[in-house]
Amino acid sequence: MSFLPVMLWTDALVFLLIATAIASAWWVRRQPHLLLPWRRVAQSRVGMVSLLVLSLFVLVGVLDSLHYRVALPEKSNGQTVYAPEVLSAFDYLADGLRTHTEKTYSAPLAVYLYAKESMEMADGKVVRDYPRLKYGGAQLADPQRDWLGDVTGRALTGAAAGLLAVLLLAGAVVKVVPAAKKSKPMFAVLVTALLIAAVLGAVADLATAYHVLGTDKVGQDVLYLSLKSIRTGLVIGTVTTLVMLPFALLLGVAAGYFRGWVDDVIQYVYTVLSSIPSVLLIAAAVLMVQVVIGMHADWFDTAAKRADVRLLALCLILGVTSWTGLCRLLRGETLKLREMEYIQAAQAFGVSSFRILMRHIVPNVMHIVLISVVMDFSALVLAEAVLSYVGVGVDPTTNSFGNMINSARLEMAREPMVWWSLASAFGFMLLLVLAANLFADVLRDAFDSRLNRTENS
Amino acid sequence: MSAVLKVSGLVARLHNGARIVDDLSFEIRQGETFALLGESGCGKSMTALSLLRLLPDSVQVDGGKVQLADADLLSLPERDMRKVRGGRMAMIFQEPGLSLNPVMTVGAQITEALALHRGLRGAAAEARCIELLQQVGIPDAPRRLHEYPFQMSGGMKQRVMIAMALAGQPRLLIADEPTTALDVTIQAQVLQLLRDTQQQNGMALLLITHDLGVVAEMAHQVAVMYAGHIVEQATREQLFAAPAHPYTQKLFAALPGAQRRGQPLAAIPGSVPPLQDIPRGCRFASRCDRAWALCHEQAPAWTTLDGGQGVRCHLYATADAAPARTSDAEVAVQGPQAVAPAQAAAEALLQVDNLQVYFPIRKGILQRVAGQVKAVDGVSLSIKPGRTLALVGESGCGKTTTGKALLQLLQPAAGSVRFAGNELTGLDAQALRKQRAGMQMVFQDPYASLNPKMRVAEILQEGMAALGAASSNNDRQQYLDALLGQVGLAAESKWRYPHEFSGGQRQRIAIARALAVNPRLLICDEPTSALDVSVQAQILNLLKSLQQELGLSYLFITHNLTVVEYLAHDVCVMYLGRIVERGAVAEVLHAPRHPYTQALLAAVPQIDGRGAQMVSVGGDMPSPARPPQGCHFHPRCPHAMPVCRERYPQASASGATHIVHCYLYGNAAEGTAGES
Repeated sequence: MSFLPVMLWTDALVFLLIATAIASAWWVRRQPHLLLPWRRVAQSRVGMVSLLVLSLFVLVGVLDSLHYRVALPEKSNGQTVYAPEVLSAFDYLADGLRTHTEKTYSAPLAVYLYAKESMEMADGKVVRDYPRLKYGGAQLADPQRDWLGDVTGRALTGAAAGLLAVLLLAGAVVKVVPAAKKSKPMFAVLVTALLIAAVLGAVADLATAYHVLGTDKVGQDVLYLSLKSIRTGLVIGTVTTLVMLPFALLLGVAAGYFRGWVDDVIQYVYTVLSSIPSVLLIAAAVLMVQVVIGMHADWFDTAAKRADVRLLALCLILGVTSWTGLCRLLRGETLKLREMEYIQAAQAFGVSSFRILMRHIVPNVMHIVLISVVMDFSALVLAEAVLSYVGVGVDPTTNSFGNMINSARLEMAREPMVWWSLASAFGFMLLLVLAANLFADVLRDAFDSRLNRTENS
Repeated sequence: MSAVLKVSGLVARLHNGARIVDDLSFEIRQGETFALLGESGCGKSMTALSLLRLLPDSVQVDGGKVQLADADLLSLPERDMRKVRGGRMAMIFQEPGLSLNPVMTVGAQITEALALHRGLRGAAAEARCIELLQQVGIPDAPRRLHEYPFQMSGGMKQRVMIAMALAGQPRLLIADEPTTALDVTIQAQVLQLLRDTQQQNGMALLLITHDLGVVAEMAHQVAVMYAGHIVEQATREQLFAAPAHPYTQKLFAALPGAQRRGQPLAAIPGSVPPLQDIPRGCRFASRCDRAWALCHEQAPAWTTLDGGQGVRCHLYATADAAPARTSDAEVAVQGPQAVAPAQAAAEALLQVDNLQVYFPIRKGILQRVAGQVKAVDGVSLSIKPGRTLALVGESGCGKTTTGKALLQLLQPAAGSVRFAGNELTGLDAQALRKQRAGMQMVFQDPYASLNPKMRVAEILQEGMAALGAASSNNDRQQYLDALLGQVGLAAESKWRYPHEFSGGQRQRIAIARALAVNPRLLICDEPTSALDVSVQAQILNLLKSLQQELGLSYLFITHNLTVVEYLAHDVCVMYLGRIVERGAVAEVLHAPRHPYTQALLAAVPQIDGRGAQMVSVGGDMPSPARPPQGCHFHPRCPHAMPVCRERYPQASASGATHIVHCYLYGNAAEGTAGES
């Protein structure tokens, strides 16, 4: 075997989440009352467009979660030896981006480096000038003359290829599922897909020959770094939820249903927890984890595993500190539900409290859980950026938006200024969080039973 | 007299084209009360809102004309319309608790209306405010002016709402179910107030209601609405003497009451068609037993009968059908059935002695118990197999609490509940579960009593599973089918969700759920108060036939005395946590002895209208946290004596079964020291 699959902790959790999502989707399909709000989501233009954008992000994140180690050509004692570097399926696809590193900064689509260097000319004279990049625009003979034509040409062919691909795909979809033609948001989705495809096609074509978003201090492609950061953002946004959900759901529902001392204890816990400044708590916990990891370097055979454990620890800590909001919400809703007559009817049958919680209360608060999970997602992605900027976030070797922003602190102070690192982190994060927020909005409208609707009243 | 409001051809429709108010035409003259009568969902409230141009976004007016005095309301610009609202035309709403702003004093809210429409400010506004509050019968008005809505009772709030509506001196007052949320004694007070104000101001009143009794007491003209149409319009006298439209006839026949005792009520099958798919022909055709082919094809035109009575029915449009008019009796029933035989000799199935339920009042930082709300304070009752005991009282008197305490859903503070010879109080959950199957509950609101996320089959099986009635899946499915058949639902309905059913069908499911464990006693907590009259009749019929088939006993908790008259064998009247009078139905309802029972009976609007003299009691029910010293009823009692203020009266019997707690009668004078 020429490679060894590696399962990092966060990978396992990501796949667990995906499995849960698929299982619940399959289950929801057969429950008409659960399907109804999703139908409403499917009828919403904003919802479908933001879902499209989100799913592209998720695709990158999932590809980036399939990790492996390449086998080295030489063997020791007949045993295959694997490279210490952990790669992912995404790295394999974007191999050009990963390996084409320059010496240092270069501007987006640049052909020359961003810093002057002493170069020895052919005639032996030493000149101090901006050198040509090793990869960016290396194919151009005379950059002054050919650059503009080459860039536009590549952008246009790439965009055209992208458009064609989407049109073919849309044609195939309509052929297989004729009903898709009539669905209301189809047109909006198609327009967005064409737009995205054009941009992606242009970027993909350009990226084979240029650094579309420039390079950073050590010459890594910023586009590659940004794409790699997506996984970190998604993991923080989703795995944290996974950690937080059991706390919030069980404690919130139990506090609301049992009242009395159970309620008192749970309320005191979350009141105290939410009174501690969360950044302080997170900083303390992260530093502790860091010390533990530092003392037990032998636990991890690769750097990736070490960084991954730190990412997981951050998720756990964020989860422990962020369940209070949802818990409070669920407690309030349960207080209302427990007075409903169907709960009393169940009590009159002598149904046990646990069964009442599971059969009657939890299904009736699920819409709140769903809405708040999607809304929390964007808050968590932003929280990661803030924490990494402060220096208590993910491992410095992990690609993340927070780390990109953190390094941009120095780049902005540099003269001339390096802006593309910050700008691309900003752009990618904005797109991700905006899509998530818009989607959350649509979900809330679709699931909130308090909104008046004429279609099903 | 000139017409204050003239509506012609008014149409309001949803965006999808459904006409929820269709071709409405009527006139209201000065000083006249025009009642719009109809069941829920028939478009009454939408009519009122379209008059005020306050329709929700999903509904729009689509033609017609609304003429208020000389102004055409539908073509007025919004600026001028704002002057009309609250000025020339005012509205009061159903729920007084929701229509007042809780963070503004009542004075400020009335002054707002005064400043807007009368230009009054400062001292002048305050003086007028006090005047208005006095006019609506709020005692101590200058002090009440500075109180917040939460400091007032429901009846008071509705009075304040009326004062607010009167502030602009409207020529037309729209009252949308003004008393539906109030108790009968308070309802009588508010209706009286509306009548008095109308006499003083000579304003026109558009009264929207579902209650035939209220219509009988208040209206001059009545329009009966069904599914967006007016199906019949007449003066009150005409309507109550000879209702023309089959729907109106059936509404009358569906009313429970003493005279229909022992026979099934003439329920109207089915329910009001949903607004989204209104049938093409006559909208009532699918529920009408006199419909023929024409009714399903062509909507009937408006026909005016002699005497000005108008009706929308094919029966009157064609000359040959007209004589086919039937009297009530023909519409009514298939024939009287025997009442369940009184099993006077049998052992009591449920025997309750001195039941007490207290809720602690906590105060201070440490939440120390500072007092007790005596929600149920020494209630004793007994029910024999196959009999129905009605527990009657106004809201807040502790009747629902009693029901829950009997089921041990609430822990009684003291007293004993013996069910089929077994003591239920103090049992642990395990031992109690064995007894649960015998006693089940049917709740008030069919929309809240079924879990929306469970299918009917799952709902019905819950009790069987919890009580360990394990059997093979096949048997169980057959049992469920039989159960659904018993309550008049199709067997296929078990795979559907509650939201697919109408209110009446949901209540049937709730009854089936209770029956699933073969109970011997059903505690019915206002099972019909959330339902329309026609559907109420279906449910009452069902309960009655179940009693005959299965020999069930009922504890029927209600505030509706006509239902009691129809269904119950024995009655207990409750006031502030105690039973003040008990006895057989005939004794208590036809020869009431306690002044409270008398007041309760007098406050019920009678549909025969004439001659219901108002012996209404004043005031509100006191808080059960601080019941009055002595007899709880003495502050509102017209016959209160000094002794009433000192001690709670003992029971005094008149006849074998009739017992009353009042000093007016015999041996109660000996009394006991107040047990509180």
